[in-house]
Amino acid sequence: MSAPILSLDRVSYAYPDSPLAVEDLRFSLEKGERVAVLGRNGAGKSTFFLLCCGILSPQRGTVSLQGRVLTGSKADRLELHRRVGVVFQEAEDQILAVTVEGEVSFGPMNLRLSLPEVERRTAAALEAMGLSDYRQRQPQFLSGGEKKRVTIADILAMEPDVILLDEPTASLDPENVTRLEETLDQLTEAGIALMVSTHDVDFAARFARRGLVFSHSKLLEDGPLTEIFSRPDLLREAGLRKPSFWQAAEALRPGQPSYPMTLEDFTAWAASGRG
Amino acid sequence: MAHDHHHPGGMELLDALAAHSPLRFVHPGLKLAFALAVIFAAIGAAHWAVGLAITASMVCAMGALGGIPLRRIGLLLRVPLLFLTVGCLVVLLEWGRQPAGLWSAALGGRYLCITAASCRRAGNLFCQALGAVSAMYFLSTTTPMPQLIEILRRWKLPELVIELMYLIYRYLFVLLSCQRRMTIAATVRLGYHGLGRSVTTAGKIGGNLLAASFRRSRACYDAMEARCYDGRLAFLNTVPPVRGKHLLAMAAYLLALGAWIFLAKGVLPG
Repeated sequence: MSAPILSLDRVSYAYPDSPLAVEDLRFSLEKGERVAVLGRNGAGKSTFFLLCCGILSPQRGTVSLQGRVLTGSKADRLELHRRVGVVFQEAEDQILAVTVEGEVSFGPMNLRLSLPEVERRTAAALEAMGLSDYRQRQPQFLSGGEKKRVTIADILAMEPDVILLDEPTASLDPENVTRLEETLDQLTEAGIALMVSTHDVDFAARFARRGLVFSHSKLLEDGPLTEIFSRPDLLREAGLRKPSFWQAAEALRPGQPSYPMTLEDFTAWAASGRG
Repeated sequence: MAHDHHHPGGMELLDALAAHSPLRFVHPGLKLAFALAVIFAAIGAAHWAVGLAITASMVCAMGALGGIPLRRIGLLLRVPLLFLTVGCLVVLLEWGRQPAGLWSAALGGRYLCITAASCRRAGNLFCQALGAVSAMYFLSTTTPMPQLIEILRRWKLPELVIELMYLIYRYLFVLLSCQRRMTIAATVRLGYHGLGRSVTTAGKIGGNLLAASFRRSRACYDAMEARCYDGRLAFLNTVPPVRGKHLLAMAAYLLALGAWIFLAKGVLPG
């Protein structure tokens, strides 16, 4: 069996003059896997992401890429940046260049690739995000959904193995959420592992089967979302609620160990006579 | 523009016009060189007829080729026109011991006069400056700023200056949008009700904007680092190619302008 694409072993981190932001994290991610990261604001999700992509270095514990323990050297940090991309919550914090083309090319240019290769990656990322006609557009003239697509194209152009998305549905309208979900499906088909931090449990239920629950700087649970949502104590501790379809099914037929989480599951559940 | 309820004005309006101008597909270096040549011609000729011809032709070019309605061009030129008028008034009025010229008024034992010579001087200066300003507006309403910065990079302006221009230009819009949201939030809570409260609110918004800028700069640096930033700000930035017909059209205009300068200086009174 091949080593996980990314793993963290007993990782802890504290910001200066602050208590631990994450404590004793153990986690691993396989190629093409999808994981939803859940928890309250300040629970440690963002710090976890920054540790995964190498912006922060663990003060205790280790980060490994495909089984190789990273040393914290500059070369290792660059390797982590290259292979684990992060799409930040606020597109305005990420978009730096004055044209869409310039923005998407920023990462490949930093990798010191040849100009034809930068152009190829930029064109491919723009194409994948349906932004080929936006090359010369300026960020200030884009909608929220378009900006989000630009930020994902930014990371795609780096050709990473893992993409972390911090609150990707925040401030998106339903149409753009659907489009985002289609995009995420394409990325999974391409073999890219995805981790999404979200407060939207319905989106999390549609997106992944595996969930991580953070609370008070600790990883409380790492397992199937169906198990997570069937534990009221865990939901209370992490400030979570059950997905809407779960709640509807539970109201129809209380007392079952678990319930459907998505529309498709709910329809099948109702059709099977269990509802 | 289409995604914002806010109606842009001033700098944002210029930026929006340039971003959607049909002339944005003309090589920016060509337009920059052309505009500079026209500005030098307007200033160098120092003749009202040249200034007026340049203004008329630039307004026509902005309207017919740039697709900007004449009313909007008029609105855009309002501010420079105001400055030019005030500036030329100073040149128009002369200060003398005795009444002289076309008009004079006693003021504190001396006379404020308008003479034929001062009229000519002020008229020439006004038209000359208006011509130069309209050429500048032609450039700024037809050329998106990213293209201009890229041309300056190719013209070997120091890399640090270019990087600063990119960042300042980008974050100007980010902060403007942030400031607009804060202002709306303050307005709906009567933050601009009365002069005193307006000043206090504006001050608080300024402070908040500064704090927001610091927070944003940290987040932005994280995002840059996550994409392997190593101290060099490099982007792919393509600009439209130089086309023969554009080159010919600009050369023809400059030749015609040269001929008009020759004619105006020789025939028309200065």
